[in-house]
Amino acid sequence: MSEILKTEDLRLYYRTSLGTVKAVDGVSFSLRQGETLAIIGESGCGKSSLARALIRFLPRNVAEFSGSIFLDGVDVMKLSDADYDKRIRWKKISYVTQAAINSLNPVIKVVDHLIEPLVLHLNMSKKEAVEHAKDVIKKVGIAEEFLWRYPFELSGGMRQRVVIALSIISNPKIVILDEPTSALDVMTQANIINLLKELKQKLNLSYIFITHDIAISSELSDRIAVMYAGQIVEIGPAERMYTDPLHPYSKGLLNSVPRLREDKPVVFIPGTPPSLINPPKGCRFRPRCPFAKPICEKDPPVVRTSPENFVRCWLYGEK
Amino acid sequence: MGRSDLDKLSNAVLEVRNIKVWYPVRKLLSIVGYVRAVDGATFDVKRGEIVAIVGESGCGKTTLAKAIIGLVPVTEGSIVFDGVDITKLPRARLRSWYSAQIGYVQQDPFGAMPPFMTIKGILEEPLRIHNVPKKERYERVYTMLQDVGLTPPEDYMNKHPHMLSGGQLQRIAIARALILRPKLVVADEPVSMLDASVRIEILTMFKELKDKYNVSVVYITHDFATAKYFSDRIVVMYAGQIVEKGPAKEVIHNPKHPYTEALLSVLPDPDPKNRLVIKKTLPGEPPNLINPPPGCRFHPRCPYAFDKCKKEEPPMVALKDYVEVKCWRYA
Repeated sequence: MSEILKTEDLRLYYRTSLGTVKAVDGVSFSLRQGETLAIIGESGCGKSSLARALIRFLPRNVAEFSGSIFLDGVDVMKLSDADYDKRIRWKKISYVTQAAINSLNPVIKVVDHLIEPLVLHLNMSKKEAVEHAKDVIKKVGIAEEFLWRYPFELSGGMRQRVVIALSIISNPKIVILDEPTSALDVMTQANIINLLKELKQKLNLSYIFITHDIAISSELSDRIAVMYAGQIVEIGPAERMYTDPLHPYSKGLLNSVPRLREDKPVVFIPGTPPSLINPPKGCRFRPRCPFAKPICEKDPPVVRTSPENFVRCWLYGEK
Repeated sequence: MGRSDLDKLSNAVLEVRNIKVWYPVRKLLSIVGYVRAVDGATFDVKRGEIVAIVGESGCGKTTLAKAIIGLVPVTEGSIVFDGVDITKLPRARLRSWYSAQIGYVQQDPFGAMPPFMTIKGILEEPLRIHNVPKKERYERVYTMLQDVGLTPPEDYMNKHPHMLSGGQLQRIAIARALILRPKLVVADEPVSMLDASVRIEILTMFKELKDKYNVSVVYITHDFATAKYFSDRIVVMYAGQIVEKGPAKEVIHNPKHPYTEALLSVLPDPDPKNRLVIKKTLPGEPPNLINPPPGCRFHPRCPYAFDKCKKEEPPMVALKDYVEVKCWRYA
């Protein structure tokens, strides 16, 4: 499996009346072709901002956007917005936003939603685009006749399938899924997860799966990145992360998940995440960490657990 | 209702007996049908107990909650609270007496708070309506804020809802539900809008307060995992009806109804093996409540359905370990 995405020291800061919000603050990770990376963390940890930085959907109040993103060999930070739109977005990387099922225009037919990117970005003729849309809609498990329906005539699960069809219609290599199932019912959620697994297999897709639900993250992820206060504090393989995470915050998150099949006690992490305007010095988790030591007031080292995985914590650093 | 009357009553604080809540569907001036949001639900809530009502959206669980607190008219059946059938209570009595006996926590903490009132004002309002003297009001608001972990209370009293986080607002909502010292609190998805890690914190606090204030709780949720940890008993609803009820752990570890079994089988625990399997899911979707299928409402999706299920409605069958299930397989 080859590397399809790599970020180095990625930063995305926002300007607000209260100060600069460091939503993404020095994030480095890599992703292989066909691999799913889950990004988990509490709300406000910067996981959705990270997604927006990758697909370059930025609000107007950006204070700083720096670092590097290599996508399929292209240094995309060097591209202008117009070039990015032309060469990268939808063609290499696509994005399913949170609550995307409400983003379909209720008075535009499903088929018109699907052919729009094909006609506009891939210069297909309308006829070709409709043929292609027929193919894709079948791939997501919807009968062809639904192309001629309006989104309001579809159930939540079907609309989510349409949104997923949209995200794969221009054959991207990476799909960012931002809480793709959080608004859905249990059974619908299971169906959508099944669909995502099948598509990944068939199309050799890479997913970046953003969620705060650790149980759901285990449905797709090959690797997991745990984010806290704008930084990745640990990244590691699924086999280890769900059983034996290293960082105290990852441990805390895992212990706070209520289990259905085991009778393990649940323990929440006391305290609240820090402000991203003025995060604590040194390790940002220090004020809530049960293992905090004086040395944690200094920036923790990035300890490699393998060439592509690491944990950012003094417990594993230089003694 | 004096204290002595209470002692004569059963151990149950709430007895819901075969209630139906049908919403009329109107076309011009005539009624053309009914949405059978709740169609025959029977269960008890004992003193000091947490009962979780679990189901998917549209199964009628919120309507059931609203019926319990007297917010929607009940079409049929009775809801007996502390020996009094509240479905027969006059409106005025419902407001003067019953509203002080039950608390309600809504799903959306942001929408549940009047934005122009201060936290103190929000918590004081129920006390004012129920004629608690001014001096006592302040003290009760103060201790209540301490109890829900918003300390020091002075810091929060004069704040407005928009200045607080979702978790803090939900603490205020719980404080408001408890401030009149009710006997029962109905919490409708109290944590589903909050972050996963905050959910456990709020529910843990809620459970502690339940013991401290000696209230019973009806916990409405779609989340089996939190229901397992925070309730004593679980009631599972499907298409307006209760399909299974029993002790929480029993229902979770040993589900009897095919619907409960199917839901639990697709819910993940954090396990790296999950990604390697495609789950078996149920076909179809929950039925339309205007015209539900005959017989068992679950039969069109049920992997075990046989002829009888399509024709006759199954009875509620009592099994061992206090489990009851509405299914022909056990009748």
